Parts: sequence; C-alpha cells; structure tokens
Amino acid sequence: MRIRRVLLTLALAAGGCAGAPLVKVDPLFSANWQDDGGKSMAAVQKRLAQSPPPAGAAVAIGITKSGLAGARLDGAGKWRDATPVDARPAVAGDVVVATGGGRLFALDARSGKRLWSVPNRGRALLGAGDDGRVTVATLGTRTAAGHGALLAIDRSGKVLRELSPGVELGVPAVLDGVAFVPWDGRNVSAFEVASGKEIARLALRAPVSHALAIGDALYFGESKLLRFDEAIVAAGAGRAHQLSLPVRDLPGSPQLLADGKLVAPAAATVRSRIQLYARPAITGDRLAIQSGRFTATYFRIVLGLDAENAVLRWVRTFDQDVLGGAAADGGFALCEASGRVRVLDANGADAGSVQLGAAVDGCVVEAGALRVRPGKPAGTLTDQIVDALDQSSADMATVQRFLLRELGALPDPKVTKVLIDLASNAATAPALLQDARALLGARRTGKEYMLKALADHYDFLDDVLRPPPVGPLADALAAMGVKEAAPLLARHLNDPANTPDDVERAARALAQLATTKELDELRTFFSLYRATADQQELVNAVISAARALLAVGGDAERQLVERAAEDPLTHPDVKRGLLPLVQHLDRAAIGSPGAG
Amino acid sequence: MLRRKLVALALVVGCPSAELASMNTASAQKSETQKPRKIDVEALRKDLESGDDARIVPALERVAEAGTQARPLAPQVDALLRRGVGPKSCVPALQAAGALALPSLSAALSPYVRHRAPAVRRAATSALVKTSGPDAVHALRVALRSNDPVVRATAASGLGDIGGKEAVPDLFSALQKGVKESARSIGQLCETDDCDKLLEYFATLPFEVVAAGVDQILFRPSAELADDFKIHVIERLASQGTPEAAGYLADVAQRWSKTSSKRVKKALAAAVKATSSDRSKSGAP
Repeated sequence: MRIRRVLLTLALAAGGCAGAPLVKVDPLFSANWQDDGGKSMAAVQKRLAQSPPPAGAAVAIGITKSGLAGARLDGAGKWRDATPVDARPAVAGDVVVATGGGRLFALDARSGKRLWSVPNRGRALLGAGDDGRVTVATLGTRTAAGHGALLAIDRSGKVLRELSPGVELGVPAVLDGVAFVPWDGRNVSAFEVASGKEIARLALRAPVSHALAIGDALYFGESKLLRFDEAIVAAGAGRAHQLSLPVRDLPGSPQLLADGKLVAPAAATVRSRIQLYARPAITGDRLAIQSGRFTATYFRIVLGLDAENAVLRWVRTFDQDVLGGAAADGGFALCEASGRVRVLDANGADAGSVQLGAAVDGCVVEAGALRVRPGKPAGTLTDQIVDALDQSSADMATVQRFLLRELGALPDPKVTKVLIDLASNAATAPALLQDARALLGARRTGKEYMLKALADHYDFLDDVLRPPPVGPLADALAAMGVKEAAPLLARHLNDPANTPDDVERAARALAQLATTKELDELRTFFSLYRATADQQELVNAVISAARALLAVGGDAERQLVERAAEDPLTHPDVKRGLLPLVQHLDRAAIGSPGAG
Repeated sequence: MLRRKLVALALVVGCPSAELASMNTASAQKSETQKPRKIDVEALRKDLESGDDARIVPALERVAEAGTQARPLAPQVDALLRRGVGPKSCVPALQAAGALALPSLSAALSPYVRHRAPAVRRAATSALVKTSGPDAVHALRVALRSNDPVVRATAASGLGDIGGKEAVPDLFSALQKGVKESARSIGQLCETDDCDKLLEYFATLPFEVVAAGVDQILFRPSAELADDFKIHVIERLASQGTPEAAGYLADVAQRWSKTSSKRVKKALAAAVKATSSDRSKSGAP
C-alpha cells in the first residue's frame, strides 16, 4: 500500500480550509478493498432511491478571453463573469464550478451570481457534482497524475471535506450527501461527505472516469455509461443497465466522454470539436438513447445518427465549429464558436437558439430538464449532405469523404447529379474526386443526369475546362443497359481531353450499347489508334471498339477489323486482342447455315 | 538546316510514337525556290500501298516534297489516313496531305485534329490550313475549342487564311481568351461591324495584337472593304493619340503601295501629320 494514498495532506487541509474536519482516509481509496461485485453500491442505491438528482439548470457557458458568459437555454437570461478560467468549467446541477485566478469558485448557473470561492490548492478543475446543497469538486494538475484533490463545499463556501488521496481522480457526482468519485480509471467509490467514510465501491472492467447526473439518474463511465439504479447489484455479473453507442467508424473517431482524469483546457481542443452527444434514458427495462438519436460533431458538421445502428439520419452544417454541447430530452443543444447555441430536435431540425453575446474559445452546455420541441424540417438527407460537401475548407476532407460514401448509398437520383458535379469540378479535392468517381460508377439511378453530363466535352471557348467523368458514367450506363448513351459515349472516344482510362471504359460500354448510329465514331477511333495506341488503356479501348464494330457493323466493318488484324502496322498488342475476335468470326461463318 | 531540324524535333516532342518519322520530314519544308524533283507516280503508289512503314514513310516524304505535283497520289494518301497509319508514318502522312493542298483531303485529315498525340493533332491542324474547304473550316472551328494551345493558335491563324468567315464569332471568343492569333484572322474575315468591334479591343489587349488584325483590314482589297471604312479605321487609330498608334500609322503609310487607293493614302498622310507630335513624344525616329 502506498503511503501517499493513506495520508491526508495536512498542509493542504490546514492552509485551505481552517476548521474542516481532518479525516484519516484509510480505507477510502484503499487498495485493500474486497470487491463485493456491486453489493455495497446496491445498498447505497437502495438508500438513495428516493433522492433523484436535482434537474439542474439548462444553460450554456462560454469561455471568453475575459471570463465566462452564461445563457439560459430557455432564453430567459444571460450573464457575464470577469474571472478568466484555467480549465474547462463544469455545470453541476444549478451551479457553475470553475478554477481561475488561483481560486476554485461557484456561480449560480442561472444568474451568474457568485456563490463561493476558495483557494484552488494550486490545481485546476477536473469536474464537479452538486446535489443542491453540497458541491463536490475534483482538482488536478496538467503535469502529474495522482496529485488530485477533492473538496466538498456547501453553499456558504464552507469546505466540508478535503482529500488528497494520491489516486487519479475523475469527475465526481453527489447525491443526497453521498459523493461518487471515479478513481484510477476503474473504480467508483461512494463516500459520505459528512462522515468521510467510504460506504461502497464498484470495480468496473470498462474505463470509468466520470460520475454524471443525467435526467433522473446517476451514471458512471467513459466510453460506456452504467446507470446507478436497482440493477447496479448485477454490475459484477455484467447485467447492470449499461449504455454503449453502436459501433461505427465515424470521422475523427469522436468519443462520448473525454478522459475525466485529465484537466481539460479552457479553450476548446480538436477533441472538443469532434465529440459524441447522447442522452441515456430507461425505456421499459432497457437503457437506451433518448429520442433514438445521437450526434457526432466534426468541426462545423453535425451528424445525426440512429441510436440502434448508427445509420446516418441527418446532417447539419453550421457556420462555425461546434465547441461544446449536450443531448437533451428530444434533441440537442450545440454551442458554436460564434457564441450562438443552436437547439436541434432529434431529427436535426432547428428548434431555437440563444446567444452567449460573444465569440467563445470554449463552451460547456448542460441540458438539464430542457425539453426540445420538434422544429421545422431541414430538407432531405441528400440536400443536407450536399450542403456539407459544399464546404471547401481542407479540414473538412475527412467528414466529406464519410458523407460522400453515405450519399452514394442513397438511391435518390439527385445523388447522381451531385456526384457528377463533384467529379466534374476542378476545385474538388483529389481524394474526394476519386471517391466520387468510384461511387458514380456504381450508381444505378439518375440516368437522365448521366446523359446530360455526357453531352458535355472539354470546350476552351465555352469555359468547360474539365471533361465529365466519362469512365464512371460509361460503367453505370452500361450496367443499366441505357442505349441512349451510345452516341454520347462514341463522341467521347475521339475526344483527346478525356483520360485514357475514361476512353477505355467508354469503349467497353460501347461494345455493349453501340448501334449502327455509332459506326462512324467507332471506325474513326479504331482507325486512328489501332496502330498508334501507346498505352494499355488505349489498346484495350481499340479492342473494345473492334468488338462493337463487329457486333453492329456489316461487311465493311468486318473487313476493317480483319484487315487490321493482319496489317503489320497494327500495334502488336491490338493484334493479339483482335485475333480471337476474327477467329470467332471465322468459326461462326463455318458454322452458319449455308456455309461451306 | 539547323532550324529545320529544330522544327522537326519540336514535332517529335510530345508524340513519342512518332519518333524518327518526323525527323525526316524536313523535305516537306524545303525552300520554295528549290525546283522539285520529278516523281515516279507509279512507284510511289506501290510504296504507299505496300503496308510497310519502311516504304511508306519515304514515299510520303517524297509526296510532301513534290507538293501539288503529287496530286495523282491523293487517293492513296486519303486511303492511308482513313485506314489509319502507323506511328512512324502518321505525321508524314498528314504533311503529305497538306502539301497536296486538295480540299477533298480535308475530310480524312479532320479526325486527326482530335488525336491524343499532340504532334499528330498539330500536324493535322497545319495540314488542314493548306487543304482548306468547308471540311477544313469545320475542323478548325472544332480545333479552336481544343485543350491544346498550339492547336488553338494554329486553327485561329489558319481560319483567316482559308476564308472561314463563319468562324468570326468563335475567333472573337478565342481572342477574348487570349488566343492572339485570332486578331489577324478577324482582320482578314470581318465585315465592317466586326472590324469595328475588333478596334474596340485596343482598350483591353496589347496594341500589337489588335494591330495585327487592323493591318489585314487596311490592306484588304477595296472590293472587300470600302475605302471609306478604311479611312474610318485610320481616323479611329489617329484619335487614340498614343505613340504606338502614331508609329503604326507611319509604318502603314510607308508600306502603302503607289497603286493602292489614293484616298486612303491621303488619309494616312493626314493622320501621320496629325500624330507626329505623339511620335516625337515617344522618341520614335
């Protein structure tokens, strides 16, 4: 047993809060605890069953250069506090807890009124919980793990309990005078603030660095959330109510909760811009995600995902990055860098907004008891994805590739047009261009858009400076058997602005789609390149053109191909490809009625 | 000789498959003062129909050298182009067709303007300027839209030479997009309204680019463009009041033939006199 774990830091206690009771922390956070599989925690749950967490304030707290800016999500008011903070503040119940200027302080979340302030013990805020009477805050340092401190403070600012247990503390919660403290990433200890006694402990297999009050219950966890209810007794057997989001490879690999053992910077990091928001709720006997939706943010893009299978249901594109947010009953509240907090319903529709009144560097949102009413529908998923793809910023490439794949899976014919536009736009990022071409080739709807696109050619005078994606269009139209495409594809055979790959695929499609109307273009292409094809794609294209000529042409075309197959000027690789075609013709002639 | 070789080399660059063939095309560019050798039409016909590049390439070069004298071989050259020629004979075949200068060959040449090999499409564009005819005008108008700047420039200047009047709107579009060769062709082809429109480009394009077109306007026969209009052009130039315009008018006055319109000559003299102070400002002699 490490000595530093069992000693109370007398210096801290004496210097920080004169009159606070000195408590021998052993066995609190002791390594000698015998894992009881959740029994002690179940007893605590039974004891507290009639004491749900207070609903808490529905507020957004912006971190500005000069301090904090708060706004109630119901639009009933906003406030400012001029103390610059050194770590991300926490909203716990009705209070905002923060560190800054050498102090740990609490503000009334609704009014911004300062409730109390105590020295910060040289540390910054990890997290806080509040049960309406007592606030429990954990503090840490950015440089050394295990140097955290825990303070329990009443509304008057009196420090009721102060511990420095030498373990890695997480974000605490408090319920009716019992503090729940995650520590060392695997345990949650419940101790009575009044007595300082640890009365229960839960050892978990999954990482746990947060104890949170959400709605009418407490939850413990990090990537998964374990509900503190009557089923907690079965936690040891893995049968407690536990929520884990459906697995999906999302842009930037967002997390539901960051590591609560680490001090979060006051200003939003990349991680705070790439974040999951979900609100757990009991439905019948099952812990599920409220409203059936959770969201993933990626800078300015917000993805609405199905709670059952993580299928993309909606996408919203904001003007600025989302720096923080919360899932509410029936929707989400998301805070933009501009200081605007947008409320979306579960279907991604706008359901209101409030202004913090200043641009913010970071933002914390607590939904409290906010109930989001359905908003005005925000267009089709196709339109929403197109809107997101219109963002030209380079840092959007990851999410745009994700969205492009989603778009490609939609049968909407308009998707085909979007893919064509992307593949034809000189400004499209190379990675996105390749994806768009691949998806376009696999399309089976939107042939009218494909035909319209194929009618275009490179045209210096008309400012068409990029040819259409001929190859993918050819693949798709051939797969759909669209004969109307044949004359358009044939014209592209002889357009030098198309890539050899596009020409090869156009010729391959024509071998299937061509009619006698395309014979002129096919003959021209065959004649021009049967001897001068200097790339494998062109060799293949010439052979495909020969197939088309033989399929729809007459004697003249047959002679053209046969002669080419014998001509010493014909490219050797082309000849090799033509010979089987010609031999097949010979066999067919021998086998035909009247032959021989 | 060095210059000829450089021209041939330039044709090879960008057309790897043309390789040595175009190195031997200098014969097509021999001085007009050199008297062409007599050709053996029958022997050349056999060579052109041999299917053997080793015989076809020299025969094509011989046709190109002989020029219009080799016109009896036009059907063989036409057939080669239509059937498709090998990488070595491709450019020589196009040059031979151009040297024959028969509009009937333009149809066989036209597809080569859209060939993927730059050297091939450039040789085809040049050949079409020589064969002319409606098919050539059509193909050169298509070539104006090409992604190949050399093809665009050749087509732009060639359309004026072959009288492709219907291409004037396209030539204006090309001029706006920086194909400066268009100005000269517009000057060769324009009616008065379009000629006037060309003058407006003095405001946005370098003087010498537009002047190349104006030069064509002023020296076109009076039967094509009336003296009154030419005098109007001279007055507009003089009214620019720039040293460049003054210098240019003086140059035109010097080149004006004694047998050409006396009215225009008089107008030129007056313009030169009126703008002489502008010239002296520029330090021109």
